[in-house]
Amino acid sequence: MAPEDRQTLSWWAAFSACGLVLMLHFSLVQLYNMPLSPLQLRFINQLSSYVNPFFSQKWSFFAPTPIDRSYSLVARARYVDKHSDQPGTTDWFDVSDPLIDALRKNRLTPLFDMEIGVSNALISVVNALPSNPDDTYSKDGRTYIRPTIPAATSPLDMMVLRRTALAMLEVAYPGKRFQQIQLGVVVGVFPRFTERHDPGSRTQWSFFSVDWQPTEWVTPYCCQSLRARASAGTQQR
Amino acid sequence: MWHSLTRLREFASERHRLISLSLMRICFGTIVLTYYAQHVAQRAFLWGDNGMVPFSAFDLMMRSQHSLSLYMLSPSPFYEALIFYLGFIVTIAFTLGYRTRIFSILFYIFTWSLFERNGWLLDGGDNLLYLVAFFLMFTYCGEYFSLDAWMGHTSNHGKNKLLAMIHNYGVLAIITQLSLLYFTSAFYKIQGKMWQNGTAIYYILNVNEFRLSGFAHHFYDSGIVVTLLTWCTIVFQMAWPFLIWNRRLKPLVFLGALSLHSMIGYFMGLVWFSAVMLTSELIIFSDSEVRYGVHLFRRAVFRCRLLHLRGRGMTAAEADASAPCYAEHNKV
Repeated sequence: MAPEDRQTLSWWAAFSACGLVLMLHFSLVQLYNMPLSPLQLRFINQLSSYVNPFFSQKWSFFAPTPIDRSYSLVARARYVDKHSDQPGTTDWFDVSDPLIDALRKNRLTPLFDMEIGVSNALISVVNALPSNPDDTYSKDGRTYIRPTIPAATSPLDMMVLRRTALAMLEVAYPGKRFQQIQLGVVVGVFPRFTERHDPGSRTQWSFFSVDWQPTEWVTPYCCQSLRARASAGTQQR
Repeated sequence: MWHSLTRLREFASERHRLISLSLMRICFGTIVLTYYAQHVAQRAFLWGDNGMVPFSAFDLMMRSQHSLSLYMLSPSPFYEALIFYLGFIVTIAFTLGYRTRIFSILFYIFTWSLFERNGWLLDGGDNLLYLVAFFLMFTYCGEYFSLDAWMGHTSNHGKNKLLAMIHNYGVLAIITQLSLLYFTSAFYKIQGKMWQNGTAIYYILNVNEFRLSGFAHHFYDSGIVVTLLTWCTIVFQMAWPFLIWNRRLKPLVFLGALSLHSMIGYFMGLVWFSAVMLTSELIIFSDSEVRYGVHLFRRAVFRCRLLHLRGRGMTAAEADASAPCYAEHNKV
């Protein structure tokens, strides 16, 4: 075989091999991404081990059901004053709203990451509630969230919420040594689409808290902008 | 048959979409660079051991997910800072197009490592960014607007037919990845009741964290606007993988994406996500289409200038003489 023919043949072999690899790759990725099906269920372990973590992707943005209520994180802490050694408890401190407010004023604020971190963790905790019998109770055939849920619910997300709240509390309440922290979630159900022009229709607020948790030292979130936001959080509580 | 195969080989051995890829390199690099620069002061909280996610939890998650990150190797603040600033330098080199092949690989590794260090900070754009960055490693993304091109490192790149073919598969992979993103997103949406009845946008724009603009109520107060926006989003996403193959419709597709993602960025505050999505859209344009676009833009600028000069009372001949030579501008 002439060297040129050999080169052509190897080119075609490589071309076919790359094409097959690409087809196989995207077939596996897409099968894993689509809604649950018998085919996906049959190969879920193999698909998961191929796709995760390096090709993991989630494109079901706000679908099939978009979020239809607002969640805000609030927190309060038990502390000992560093100077007087007097114990005390802070008021409820709004963690989410000052961050959202910062984003409202500047779409490129560095606080966006803190805001999205809180939001992602909060949604995960809320989504985990129905599957945990310790977090809910039933009455008249309906399921309700308990007024206070255990701190063990969705522990990694809870850790992110706790540490973010602590970082903000440390900025808002300087000179305090925090010993315990309690998180709370404010749920706001705004008027449904058909009621949006109804003058009597208002956002319905509800609240549940998380058991008190021990604190750990967390690097305070930097910069002056947060200091202003944090003091806004104490005023908005 | 033989003739078609020869033409296919010729087509696949010639590198395509080099300008779009170079622009993508610059835009992705700039996005990540801005991200690094913006968070220098918050680095310890966002990615440090005493920050949002302690090293022990991060290490546990990495091991359970069989994932890897450069930040896994040590919890020391010095090491974390070292990787962070090395990532910064790598991103600068990648954006400038210096030794692009090597730095595109390093860019992927460092960006992946940063995103893995704290998964709670991700907004979807990061997900697409590291997937596209993976495929960019196989492409010649430093052929234009780069230090490599300036220093003459790219002059021999087009000669290897095998590498050109791999480059083209990289381009195809990026297009396929985007097509699957849009298709999957639309596929999930059409299954949702609120998307079907045209009210989804109302609920999204009313959620506290997305109710950022004072103008948003102009959209969600009107039933017609809400329904149109909701349905147009689905139609656009569903149609994207099919429309991008039509030369005439491509500019419209890009304008559609520009409108959709600008609105997401402004009204919902997901600026990084929007920037990544818009950058990825550049891949739909071939080199000749980019050149033609630049040509049209320059012609429009030239005509505006001409009209302006004539408006100031110059005669056509004087205006033509004063305006920059169009023939010069025509060189793209």
